[in-house]
Amino acid sequence: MKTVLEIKNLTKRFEGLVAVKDVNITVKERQIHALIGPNGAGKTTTLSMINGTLEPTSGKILFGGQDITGMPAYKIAQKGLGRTFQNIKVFGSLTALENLMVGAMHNNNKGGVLRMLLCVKETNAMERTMREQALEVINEIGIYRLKDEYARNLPYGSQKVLELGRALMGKPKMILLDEPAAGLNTSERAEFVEILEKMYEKGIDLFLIEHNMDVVMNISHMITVLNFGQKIAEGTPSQIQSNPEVIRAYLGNRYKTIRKTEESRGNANAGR
Amino acid sequence: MKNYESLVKKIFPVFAMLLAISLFPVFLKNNYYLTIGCQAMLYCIVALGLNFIVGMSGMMTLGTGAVYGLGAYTSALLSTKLGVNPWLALIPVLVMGWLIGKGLGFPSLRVQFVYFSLVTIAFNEIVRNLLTNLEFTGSGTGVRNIPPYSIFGFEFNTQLRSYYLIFAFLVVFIIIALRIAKSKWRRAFIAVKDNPEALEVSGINVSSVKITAFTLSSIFGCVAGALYAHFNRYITPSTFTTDLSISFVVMLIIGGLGNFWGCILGAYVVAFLPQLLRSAGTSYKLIYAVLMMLAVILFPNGIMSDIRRSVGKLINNGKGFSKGGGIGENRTGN
Ligand SMILES: Nc1ncnc2c1ncn2[C@@H]1O[C@H](COP(=O)(O)OP(=O)(O)OP(=O)(O)O)[C@@H](O)[C@H]1O
Ligand SMILES: [Mg+2]
Repeated sequence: MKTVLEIKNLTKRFEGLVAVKDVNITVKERQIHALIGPNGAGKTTTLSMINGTLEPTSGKILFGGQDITGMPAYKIAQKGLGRTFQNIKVFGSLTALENLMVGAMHNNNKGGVLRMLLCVKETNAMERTMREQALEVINEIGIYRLKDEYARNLPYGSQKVLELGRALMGKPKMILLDEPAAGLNTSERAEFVEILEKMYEKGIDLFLIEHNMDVVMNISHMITVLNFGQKIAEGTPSQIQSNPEVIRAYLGNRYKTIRKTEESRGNANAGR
Repeated sequence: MKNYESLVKKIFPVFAMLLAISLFPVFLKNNYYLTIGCQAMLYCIVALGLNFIVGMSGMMTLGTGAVYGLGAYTSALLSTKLGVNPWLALIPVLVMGWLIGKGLGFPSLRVQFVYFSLVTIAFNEIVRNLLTNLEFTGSGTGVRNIPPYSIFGFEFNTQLRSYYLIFAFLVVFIIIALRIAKSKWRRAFIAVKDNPEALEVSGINVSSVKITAFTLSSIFGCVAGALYAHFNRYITPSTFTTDLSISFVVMLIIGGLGNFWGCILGAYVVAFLPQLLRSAGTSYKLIYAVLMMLAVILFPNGIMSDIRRSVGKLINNGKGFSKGGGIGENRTGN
């Protein structure tokens, strides 16, 4: 398997505090890779360094074999690395459809305003392309009927999928998701996971931070665990579940509930 | 077919408005009203440009008076001192607008909110001071005997002729503004206001979007300034104060931030209201201020935005009643 994303000795120091310390992660192609760990472990910080929002103190990030360390975020996005945020960031005073269209802008951005004014045909064609793509995506993420609502008026769950949709609009190779299931109710969560799996099947690799172990253990192929900024474990879901250090540092009794759900699922399967 | 219909629906009000503006001199023939009419159209151009920054991108700039002034001085000085044809002088005016855009856009990348507004006020004061004190700009007396625009010997040297010349420019700028408002640039500008970090992550260079907004706005402002110089035939630095900058922002606020119709309405209100209040004598400034305050209190989102919103609500309520809602639902599965 080829490597898509490689993080080497990544460190982030805020005044006095080392949020991420010497972390190495290798994400293989065609995988859903999860990053888990307790609050304040440095997960979001890691994600922000990968997508260029934060500059690493030291270390290297390679995406598709290319060094993207310290590159501005917009350039990294243009290289096919999308992202969603832990605290939703949508464009409140644009409609849902327009929010999506912003995501496609960098692929339809030949020339500046002057070219836009002079080449009427080209501009209209690009606008049409963006709109059609947005209509397609908004249908895929299941909020078509909300397409003309202002994003700020959308319910929380719809804003979350809208953010994912915006990342999809950029036709990314990989999407980084920061706690996609947080704040969603059970049915919304199931819906979201379904969308994620659809994305994955379409060929987009996923790297996600998630606290909900049901989601993590079910969809990910590989899991990396952070604690106090350091990587303490890495492996498949079953390896992680039985790793004593992970249980001690993070999973704790949550591990047991997962075991239970796993068991009940196993029983259900056996019954079939 | 449907597209065509909606296009007509959108173009028609603009067309009607332009017709009204073009017929204005038929009804108000005297030079006094024509002059204010010209002023109002110039304000429209500035406001449409300023809308990209203040209305859409959400950055409060208070330096537009100086932008307008620099456009006016560029054209006035070139045509009086070097004898450059005013039409030809429009090229350096455009360059001036472009340069100011880059220059004013730059601090917007470093400082935000009130601090940015303070920087732009400082810019306005520096420009006004330089214009007042430099000898080659004519110091406090400004520039006199500025030639009018002319085409093949036909001079735009009366109020009525100037009116239609400025009108022609207004039409061009309205077309440009509407095209931009229909494009991805409007979305990018609004995204800068709503959430720059998310825009950056979407693959767009936020700095360059901001600079684009400033460049557009400064070009609108500079060209309007140049038109003003050749219409008024003389300019003094005392015109281009921070007060003027504030008036430009007031136009947007009372009309409705980010709203095309708001810009036009705001420009006309700010141009005409003081004149209509002249009869009130010395207290006109007081009445003007009170009216402005009332406008902001009664129409917190701007007059145009609030009117549109309530009209929209009325229409939607009607629809919901007759069709029983759920209109959008049918299309979900398409
Ligand atoms: N900009 C910043 N300046 C200073 N400290 C920061 C900054 N951002 C994060 N931190 C600190 O770095 C540590 C890691 O934060 P981070 O947001 O990466 O955690 P996390 O793993 O995403 O946690 P959570 O699960 O709560 O989202 C925390 O102690 C946090 O307080
Ligand atoms: Mg986090």
